[in-house]
Amino acid sequence: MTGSTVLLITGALLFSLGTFCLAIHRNAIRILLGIELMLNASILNFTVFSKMYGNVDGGVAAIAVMAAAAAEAAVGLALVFALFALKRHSDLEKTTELSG
Amino acid sequence: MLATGLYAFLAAVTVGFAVAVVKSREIFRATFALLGTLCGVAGLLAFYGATTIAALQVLIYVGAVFVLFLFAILVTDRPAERLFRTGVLPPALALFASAGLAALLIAIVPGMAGKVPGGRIPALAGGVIGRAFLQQYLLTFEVIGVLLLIGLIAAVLIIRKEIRR
Repeated sequence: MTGSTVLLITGALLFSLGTFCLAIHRNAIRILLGIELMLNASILNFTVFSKMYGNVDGGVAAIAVMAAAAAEAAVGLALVFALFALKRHSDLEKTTELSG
Repeated sequence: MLATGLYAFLAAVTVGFAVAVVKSREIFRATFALLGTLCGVAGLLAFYGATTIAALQVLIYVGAVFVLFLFAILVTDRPAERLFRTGVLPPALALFASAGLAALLIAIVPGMAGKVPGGRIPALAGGVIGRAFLQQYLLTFEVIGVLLLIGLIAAVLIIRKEIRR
């Protein structure tokens, strides 16, 4: 089993655990943790394919994903702060004012 | 042999901490488990030869994102919310769906990994990535900068509005 295979399988497991986290949790912070897991899986995959094809594109994409993750965490946690200031909880199931 | 063992160890650490992220009862513990996952991914990347991306992973994720998560939990923590509560999907259905996704993704891995001979060019050296960002991907570099600036401004605006209220 080569390093590429190990990294790809780890990425697949991290992505599936991220989707599981999104499916079962109601707290906004835990949902953001699940999204971080999925973004880490994408970083692993971009890096592996970049090296497998001997091409720098995937490495650039991995760094872009990291920057997007940092921006997402900043804005997402700001929204959690705002929700908490407004409602005194961060439960997305109880946040129903915008649902149709 | 040693390399395979080290890869397996790092992958086990990464996936084990990721399971703890999902299954921990307390948000605080889940976030600390995320620290283990992030460091495991960084270790895998470094051992794979992508040392620059591994360093950035530690710098951005462990240095910034993880600390931001800890801060958010310390500000918004309430004892009633610490418990493990499930959402819309029943856990068994969610487990079935994500296990199916994992099986599908792992099933297509051998076909992808076998097709290309590994490591033709040392593509992920720091200098190569840096030159790519300043020549071929200059637009991407600028867009990342603008994205981070907009994210920063948006975060400040969202929070300021709530504090004024």
